[in-house]
Amino acid sequence: MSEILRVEGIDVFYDDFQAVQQASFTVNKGEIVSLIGTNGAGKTTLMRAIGGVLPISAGKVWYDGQDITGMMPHKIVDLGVSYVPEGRHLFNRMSVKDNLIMGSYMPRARKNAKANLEKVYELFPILKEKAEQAAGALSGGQQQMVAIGRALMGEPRVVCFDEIALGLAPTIIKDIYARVRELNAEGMTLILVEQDVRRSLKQSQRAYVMLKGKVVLEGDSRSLTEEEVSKAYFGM
Amino acid sequence: MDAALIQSIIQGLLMGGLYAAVGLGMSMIFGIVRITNLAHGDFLILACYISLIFMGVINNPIVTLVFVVPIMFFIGFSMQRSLLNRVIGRGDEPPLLITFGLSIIVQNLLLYFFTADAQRLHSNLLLESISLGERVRIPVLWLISCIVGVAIILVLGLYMKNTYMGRAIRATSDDTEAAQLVGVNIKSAYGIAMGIAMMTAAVSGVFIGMVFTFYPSTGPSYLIIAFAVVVIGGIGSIYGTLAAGLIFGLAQVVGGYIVGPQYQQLIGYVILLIMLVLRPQGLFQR
Repeated sequence: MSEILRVEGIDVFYDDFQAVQQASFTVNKGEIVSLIGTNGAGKTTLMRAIGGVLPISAGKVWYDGQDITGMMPHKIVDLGVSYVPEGRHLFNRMSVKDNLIMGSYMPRARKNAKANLEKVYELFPILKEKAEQAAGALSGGQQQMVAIGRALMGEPRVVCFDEIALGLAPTIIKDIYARVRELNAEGMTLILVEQDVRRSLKQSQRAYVMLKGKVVLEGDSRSLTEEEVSKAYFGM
Repeated sequence: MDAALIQSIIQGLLMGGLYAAVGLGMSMIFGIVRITNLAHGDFLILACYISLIFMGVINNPIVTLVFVVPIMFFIGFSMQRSLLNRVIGRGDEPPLLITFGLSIIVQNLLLYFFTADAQRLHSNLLLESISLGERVRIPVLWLISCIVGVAIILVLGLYMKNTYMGRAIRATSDDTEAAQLVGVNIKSAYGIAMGIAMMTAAVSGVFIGMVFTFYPSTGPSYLIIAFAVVVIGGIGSIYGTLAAGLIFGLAQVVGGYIVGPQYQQLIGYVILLIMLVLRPQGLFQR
């Protein structure tokens, strides 16, 4: 399998506080990789730094053989790396449809915007019903669907879903993960940032565990045991 | 109702349409880039002087807009890209200081190049009026400026709703990081937003220059009008700006008719104070 994203020893700081230390991981084309860790382990910081939203103080990020370290976020998205942020970050005052259309903002995605919009409606039919409503007025699960749909509108090759299940009802989580697997089956490479150890191992092919800003464990999701991961997760 | 009251209601509404356009750019920048542009009034007057330069060649202020509007867009865009974008995200004070400095610079450059003499953009339309009945007349220039003011607001509303760039500007004001994550270059979105705001200042400025006299230090009095319109309408609300302009214009002119013309300005600001006490978020804040 060929590699699509490689992160080499990156450091990220919030002012004086080092939130990520020497983090490294790789993602291969077509796989689902999960990044597991407690609240505050540095997962979101790491993903935001890869996406260009936070500055990287040391290390490199390679995407498809190209060095993307320190690129502006809009350029990274344009290359095909998309990030669905924790807490969804929708455009709350805009309609569901406008949120989705914004996902196709990049010139290369605009020409297929109509077809992609139909695809998103097919994936999440409820969004078609709610198209004209303000995104902020939707339920948590529906908002998550808008966030996923918005990322898909940009025709990404790699998508990172950050805490996609946070605060959602179990049946909705199940439904959303089923859609995520469909996307992967169509060839999309996915990174799942998760706090739930069992779910992460079940949904992914490979896993990385983060603790206090460092990657402390990695391996095949099937061969890693829940006990092993939990130990690394809590730093025992 | 007596004719003079009807006359002042009409005049107030017409004035209000133009006031709305004066406040529009200010409101946009307040709501989107989150900058209080203290130089807004001075840019309005700058547009008057740019128009005055072209008046040397084209003897019609409305036609000079063909040049004034793109020039003002360019000034706004470059000012945002080269100065204001550098201090975005570093708190409220730096952009405030920059726009305060720009206000002083613009006023003094105008003073240097054009002297302190009062100027007016002469137009044949100034003395024309349409009569409605015996004692009620609609001044044509006021009517046109009101129509233009309302038209800018409607066009801007459609632009923001239906184009990719308009949506991107709204998205950036809703959630800056999310806008970046869908591929918006927020610095260029801010640049274009400032450029558009300056275009509205250009159009409203030229009409102000046709209706009233102006000199290099007139800017701040229009800044206060813009402020009032933004506060009454609700920050960043395009249609709120329109309603606020009409309310403010009406209050000034009709209030002036009832209490006495010397209180016209004062009445406007009393309305503003009442608004700040009763509904500080503005009439139309979402």
